Amino acid sequence: MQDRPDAKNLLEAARRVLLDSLLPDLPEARLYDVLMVARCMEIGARALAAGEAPLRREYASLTALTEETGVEEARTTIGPQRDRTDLEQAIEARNRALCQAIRAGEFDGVRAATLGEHLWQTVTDKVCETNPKYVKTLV
Amino acid sequence: MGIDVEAARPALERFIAAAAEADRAAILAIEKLSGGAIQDNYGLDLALETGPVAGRHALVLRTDAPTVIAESHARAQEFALLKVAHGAGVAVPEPLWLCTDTSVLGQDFYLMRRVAGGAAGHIVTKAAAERGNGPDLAAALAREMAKIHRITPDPPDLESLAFLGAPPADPAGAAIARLRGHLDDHPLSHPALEWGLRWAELNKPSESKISLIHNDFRTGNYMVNEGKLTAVLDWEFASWGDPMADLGWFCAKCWRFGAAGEAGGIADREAFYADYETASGRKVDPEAVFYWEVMAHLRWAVTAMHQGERHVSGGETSLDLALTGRRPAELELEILHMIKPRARQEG
Repeated sequence: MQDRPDAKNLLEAARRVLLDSLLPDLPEARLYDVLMVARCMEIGARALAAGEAPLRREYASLTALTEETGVEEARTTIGPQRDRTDLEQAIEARNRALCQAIRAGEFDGVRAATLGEHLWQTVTDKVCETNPKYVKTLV
Repeated sequence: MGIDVEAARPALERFIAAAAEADRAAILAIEKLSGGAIQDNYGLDLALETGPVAGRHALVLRTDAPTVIAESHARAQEFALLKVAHGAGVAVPEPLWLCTDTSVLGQDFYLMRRVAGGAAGHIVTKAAAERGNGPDLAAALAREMAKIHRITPDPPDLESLAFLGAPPADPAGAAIARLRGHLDDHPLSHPALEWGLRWAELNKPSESKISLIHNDFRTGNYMVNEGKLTAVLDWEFASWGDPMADLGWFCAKCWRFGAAGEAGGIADREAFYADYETASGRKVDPEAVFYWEVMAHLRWAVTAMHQGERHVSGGETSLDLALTGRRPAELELEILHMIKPRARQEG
């Protein structure tokens, strides 16, 4: 357990200094760079706040999708998840199988709705890290 | 990084003098211009002594950026496209001289006349909203687009465009195959984009009348000076294709820079369609345009993903490329939103 403040808090504090006290002193030509840096810090802070929850949700949803639709290749990739890298590798293996199944037309028809729900949830989680305002424009 | 233009100055001056039939060419100033993840552009102030175009010239030198998307045309081909477009009366920077002698700069480049104005999308859309000239600008763009679409592969009298290959029988199918290839080349899989491409495969427009298409015709890729359109830029993706694809690319939400007008963030869609129909004599097929708008999001997502990869593993560290690598998420969400069965969308 780290001392306080946590990394998210540090990034947010740094971002406020960048935008509130450094930016006004910088020439106009540097504005774009500064905004990009601030954006990276914002994404980093949100990623730290979310932790592994979005990955775990994606994994669980992929598992449910696999069981419901019986995509054979995906089922074989299930393994114990120990850390983040394991989780990411397991998700990627399943996503790869999912992509093949989609391309082969296995989700056309009645399975489309289930896939649609899974993708909407997973992509929403991604956008919540990069640009949460965007999600609201589509709801 | 790009090329060392300063070091190449003497060779560059010799090339230009010969190409312009001048006794001497002097580069008075040279500066790197912003923009273009794929090409490097340099502004050049030039003085020519003697010859048919003696005098001062403001030019742009265009050459390849360090890493290049294989899909974009080489400079020699882009030069040929500019020549054809210029000949057809399309507002483009006049193409002047092409250099394929790599001893001059180390790579191919060409020179074109420098056009006044700015192209940055967020500035163009904001200025249009403030001036209230978005509809006029969009009408001018509709006329330019119509001129491009009047160039057709039959009669096949455009030998200089032979490099474009045979017109595709199924432009949508060809685009899907290309994007799938790019997805396969990426280290991570993208189920939402696969799903979008599957939708695209199952919902192809019934018929396409093939013409030359610009294929990157959007706000951000044309120059505006004092509220007026001065040039359509960035011809490196031009191809034979479905003209509705250009309308879809132009109207796609991802190229409106957050502005309200559905036509490029500067005007109403209906007005743009009407202007295009008047100028081109072609009927706009709204369903086909919608289809190509979905394709626009797919294509931009795949492109952005690969730009991010240039930062991650391509040895081209850049914050701009890095953040572009995170753009696909919102494009994916937009795609899912667009292709949702209509009944669920309403419910």
